[in-house]
Amino acid sequence: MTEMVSIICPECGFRKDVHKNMIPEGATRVSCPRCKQSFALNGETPAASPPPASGQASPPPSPPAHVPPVVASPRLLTFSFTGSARDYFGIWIVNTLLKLLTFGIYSAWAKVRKRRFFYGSTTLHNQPFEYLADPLALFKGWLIAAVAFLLYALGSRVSPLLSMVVGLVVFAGFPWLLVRSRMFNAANSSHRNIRFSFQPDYSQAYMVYAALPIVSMMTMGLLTPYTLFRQRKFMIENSSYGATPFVFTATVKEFYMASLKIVLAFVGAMAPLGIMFVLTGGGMAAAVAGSSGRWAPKGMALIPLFTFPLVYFIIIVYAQTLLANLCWNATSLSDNQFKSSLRTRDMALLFVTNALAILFSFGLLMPWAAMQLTRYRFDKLALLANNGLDGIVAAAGSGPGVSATGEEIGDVFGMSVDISL
Amino acid sequence: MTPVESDLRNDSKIMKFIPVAYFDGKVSTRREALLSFEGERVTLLCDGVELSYPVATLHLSQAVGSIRRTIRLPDGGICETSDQGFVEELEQILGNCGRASLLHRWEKSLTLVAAALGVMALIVVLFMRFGIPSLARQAAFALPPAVENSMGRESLAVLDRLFTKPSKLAAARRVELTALFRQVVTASGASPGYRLEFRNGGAIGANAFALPSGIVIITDQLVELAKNDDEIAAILAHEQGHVRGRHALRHVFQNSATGLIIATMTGDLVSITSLAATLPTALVDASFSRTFEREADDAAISWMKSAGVPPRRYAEILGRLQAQLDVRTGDAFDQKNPARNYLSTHPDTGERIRRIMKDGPKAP
Repeated sequence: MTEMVSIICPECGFRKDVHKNMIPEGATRVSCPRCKQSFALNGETPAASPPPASGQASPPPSPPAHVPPVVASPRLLTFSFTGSARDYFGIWIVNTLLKLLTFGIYSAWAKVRKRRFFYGSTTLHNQPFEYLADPLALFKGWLIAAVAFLLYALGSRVSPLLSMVVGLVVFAGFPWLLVRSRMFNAANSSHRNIRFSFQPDYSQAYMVYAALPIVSMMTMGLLTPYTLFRQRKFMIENSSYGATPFVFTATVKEFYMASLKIVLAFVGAMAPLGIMFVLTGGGMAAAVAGSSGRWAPKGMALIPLFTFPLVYFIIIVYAQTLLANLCWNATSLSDNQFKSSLRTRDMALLFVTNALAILFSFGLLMPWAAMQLTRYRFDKLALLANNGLDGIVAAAGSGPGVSATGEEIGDVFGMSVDISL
Repeated sequence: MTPVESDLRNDSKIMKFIPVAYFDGKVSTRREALLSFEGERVTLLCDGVELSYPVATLHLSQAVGSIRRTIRLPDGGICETSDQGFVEELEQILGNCGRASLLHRWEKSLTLVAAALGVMALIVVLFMRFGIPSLARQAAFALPPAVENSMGRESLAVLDRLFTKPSKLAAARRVELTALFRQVVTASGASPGYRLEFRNGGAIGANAFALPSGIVIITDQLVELAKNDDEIAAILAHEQGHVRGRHALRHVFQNSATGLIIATMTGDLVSITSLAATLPTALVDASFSRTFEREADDAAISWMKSAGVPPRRYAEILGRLQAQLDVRTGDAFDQKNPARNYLSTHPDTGERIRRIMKDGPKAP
């Protein structure tokens, strides 16, 4: 049979006849089942330094990390979101019902199920993400949060002081909660079986989420772009994928330029409306009095009245989109650059159609709306890969070692600790 | 003889190889591998190396939606396959995902999801209909007097700033009406903390309000609209009913609670979109007010019975108020527009008048 291949271990001489089909394409190295030594396939000379032999059946030798690619032309790896509204509708309804029936106890399990679905439906280069949190860990966090909340809510009956102390502690603990929540979620997220992680730096967290916002408030918002910059930088640079940290390259100047754009857009859109409002204001008063004999027709006065909220809404969406793009496009991972191309027009349209759909379906189209928004966000995100995603090493001792208390306290007290870009 | 060797020697016994993507958990590299299982053991073949594990040590990730499922190996590696048949086979062998797969089947089945939706709607409706009002009632009666007083003061201040002006009523008439109010309040056996305030209604015209902490406001226009003091007394008895039932507080609590619950239940989206879901609050709200108006009407009727005032007096001033409102809003055809009627915060006046008159003849 010519289909059989003989493999002989150069170290101990162990010989094995293997069917050719059983050797996957591209396999170059093999380890001997008897002496556990690794050697090159095809009878080539063994590598100069064989990896240290581990005691038991070791997994196949990992390819060396960070091999510089021969061809350095960047490839565009795309994100996509494949979740269907039908699937999510079922998950959403069952989650909500069970949460109702168990007075919220089920929320930990519901959260894990929902996140498993969202993570599993999100792929980068056709490889899905995974959410690995243990619902029991979340439940323990939920219990602590629930006790704190009860103390806060019922504390005022016993003594207002108790309630105040609990409230103050939670408020003062916000940056801590944020870091703990981020740590928990990062450690329980993985892609290609490599977990993410978040480096806790509490003093830095208090600096950017407590001190800077207070100073920023005192400067009438002049420091707000700087604060935002520091917050995003903190969040991104403390995150890593495996042992590889994310890098944030945006500058303070870019944040100030973006803020300037937003302010200018706001002024530019509001000024003509304001002038129109003033001009037609008299006409409106006349219309109310019943004598619409002025040059401005009745309806004209209503245009600025209805467009004010609309313009305001569009500016908010514009600001969010601008910042999201700015942050993603300044984020890289091991020479792979994120590319985000969200458009204000699309986002605004999505928000409006979603709001209308939810309104007219009495909330039943919520899952559909969530799918629409998530799909769009990931459709517009990509990774310009110079190095590719291969060869990123897991961080030493990575695993779910963080308690979920921060995550759940934030949730129960309605704080948004789930800061995403 | 190690299992690895046995697998290799008995080549023919291996039923089939399933192509999988293998991630060892140490490096992010994706590797193609083959997985086979035979009896009690599973064998992974990757890069010419074989790894063998007892089947029972494998862990299959839960089925959620249509996401790809992973097979977790005891050493931390994972395998992914698009071979659905194999995954199902493995699930049967492992048989350890009972509860999770039950959930999955529930979420996937259209009828079961519809049933869940029905049960949920029922719970929500029952809770909004009975749960929230009773909670709001408890909260309103448990509120410390200091808080209630400050709420009353605040709402009076807001009312004064936005709508009402100082009253132009003669001082003597005010004294008269205050005495009448006292009479109504003591006859109903309410606490003595209630007080009557006079205001010029301005744009809101003939009207009367009951605020937290026992403040009752009557507008000059209402005093003028009334043909006699019995009518005013009936209105005051009605407002006193609102005060006694702490309707203003309960109204505020119910509104915020309903809004809060709807927001939490649908609040998966962090955006303006979840605000849209709170519209039904407005619909529910109207029927809450209806109940309160009935309760207050009952209080007015019971006072009239005890004071020997014919219920017709109350019906007459209500009718006059409604007529005035119709003229002002130009909504004379209001009755033909049920949606407008349902959304209005005051229940259909005609219905109320009929109810009062029905109660009337029974008066001793």
